[in-house]
Amino acid sequence: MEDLLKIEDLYVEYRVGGTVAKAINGVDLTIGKGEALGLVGESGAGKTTTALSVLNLLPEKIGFITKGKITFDGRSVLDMSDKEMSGIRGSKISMVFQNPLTSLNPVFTVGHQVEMVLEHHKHLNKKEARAEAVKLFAMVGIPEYRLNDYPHQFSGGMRQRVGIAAALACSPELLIADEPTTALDVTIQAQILEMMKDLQKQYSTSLLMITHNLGIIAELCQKVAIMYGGKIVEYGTVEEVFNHPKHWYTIGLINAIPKLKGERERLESIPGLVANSQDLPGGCSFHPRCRYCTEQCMNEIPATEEVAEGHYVACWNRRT
Amino acid sequence: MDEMKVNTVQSGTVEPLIRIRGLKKYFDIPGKGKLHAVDGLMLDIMPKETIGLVGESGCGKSTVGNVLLRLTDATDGSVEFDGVDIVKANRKELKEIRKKTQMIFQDPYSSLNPRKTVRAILEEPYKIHKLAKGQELKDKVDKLANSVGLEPYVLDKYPHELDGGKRQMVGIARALALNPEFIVCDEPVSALDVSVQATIINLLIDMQKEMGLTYLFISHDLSVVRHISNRVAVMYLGQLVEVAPTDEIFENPLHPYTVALLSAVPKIDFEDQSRRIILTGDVPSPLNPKEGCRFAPRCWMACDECHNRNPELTDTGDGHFVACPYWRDTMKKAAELMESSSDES
Repeated sequence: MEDLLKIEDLYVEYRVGGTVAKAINGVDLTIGKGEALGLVGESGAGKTTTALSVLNLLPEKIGFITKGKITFDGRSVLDMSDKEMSGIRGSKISMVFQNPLTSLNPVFTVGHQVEMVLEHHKHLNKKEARAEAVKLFAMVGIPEYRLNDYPHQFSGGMRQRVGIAAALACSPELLIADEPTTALDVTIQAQILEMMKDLQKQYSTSLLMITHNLGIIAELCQKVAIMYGGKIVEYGTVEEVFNHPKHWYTIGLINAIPKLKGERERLESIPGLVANSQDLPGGCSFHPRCRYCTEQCMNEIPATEEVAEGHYVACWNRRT
Repeated sequence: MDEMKVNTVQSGTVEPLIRIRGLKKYFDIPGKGKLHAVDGLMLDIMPKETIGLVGESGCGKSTVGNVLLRLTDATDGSVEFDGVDIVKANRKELKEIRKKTQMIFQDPYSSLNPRKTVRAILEEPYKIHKLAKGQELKDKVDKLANSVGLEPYVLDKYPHELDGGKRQMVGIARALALNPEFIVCDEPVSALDVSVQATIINLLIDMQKEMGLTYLFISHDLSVVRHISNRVAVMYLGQLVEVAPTDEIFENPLHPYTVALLSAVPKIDFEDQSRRIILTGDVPSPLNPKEGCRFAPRCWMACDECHNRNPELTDTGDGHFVACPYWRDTMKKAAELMESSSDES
């Protein structure tokens, strides 16, 4: 499969006042054309920062890419001018945010917001843009008469559909979805996921799905990357990683989730706290919480190894 | 409805700890009418059980918890606890009840006083009820903190200095301070990271065993509810649509809403996928609800009759109650529907 997005050895820092938070510490990630990749991790793992780096949307004067390369469709994203970048943002790469109420503009109608994208990127005139917007809304299940409503007049699920319609307006090659259904109810989440599945099939859009919900990944993605302390600790096909996890963090995460079927065993909790990016432990950043921590884990950053075809793990003492 | 038909676990010899009858809570929305948050709830909560209350946002779950503890006044109905009707209890009776009933909130950050240290927060219940002072108070708080696994240094911290998991442990310790009998847990783990969530769930289970607690566990997360509950009550727009023992409801759901809700949960299990009933539309507004079954507008098995008559919870045997007259057909129809939808894809 041809690579669409390639992130190589990425490092990102946030600097506020005197403190430095090392949000991303050497991430390598590839998404093929038409591929769906799930990025899993707990709060502060660096999931959203990874996404914002790809779009060059890190907060100005606070977030810095200190090292690394991001290539989209063969071109280096970090070397692009602002103008080039805004030509790509929203047209070739677009993003669906977690909270649709804060990512939509409250003073414009939803129809207008989607039309703006179309006018800007596809250079359609007002009439054409409206016709196109009507089609997009129909695709996400919003009837035409609601185009003139404002975001606050929509329910959470409907607002997220607007966000998705706007993100899809220019048929992007890569859709980044950052916890798109976390704020929604399960029955509404099911509607949105079903819709995203259809869209992926229909347009073979590549997807970067950020979530902490392993179930969503299992349903939607082919590949999964588990993130901890700003690094990818395990990567592979969803089946392989979920059925044969090798990193103790992945194993801990899977065992910490109550199951919907089978015996109810005591949940395995991972002791300690999610790694603090302002004060990352040396060696493997998971070592203070790991039951299988060795001397080497405390001192050396684990190398990433391929343990099975396409299954990568960064752990000195992985499960065998 | 006569007493015999009420949804107890089994018509055994054990008396319910809490008897909820015809509980209603309407909110007046000026210019718009009445919002039926809880509309005729009938439920028995048995001693030492955990009953999970599930439903989507806005269905009235949290209002049930609030009304049960009289954090808000009910519009109608009764909640009998320990021989007292909480709905009509006077101040004095209420103070006694409040010792025995407690609440654990979703967001421990907004439910803990930011200007007090953890120690001061945990001392408060003893002070209010004049149960201890001086050294005895200090010892009690130390013991309490220790019992939920809070390290001693945490007692001198302020809530903002703690992470979400620790803060929720403080919330739990506070709820346990007075040895309550009944605790409403309102989404106690939904704001936490997965690895921390497991710690809190385990703690709640341990404390229940140790202290013989009864929980009403409100959550929208079905896998968490399955893990912790003995029985599950499913709520839709202010009314219970199904009540049954946990395994029964997960393996043999009889209400079409429960079936859709269960099928909507994304599963990590690969064999289990693509069998799903997608509900169309959003949860309707609980403002001035229409006649008929509340779920009918989104129901995949609704018939004309459903739009006219609001079904009551009825016993299908073995403590499994469902508010749908067509419950005998649910599983068969669901299988047909899932079959046809997987053919399409």
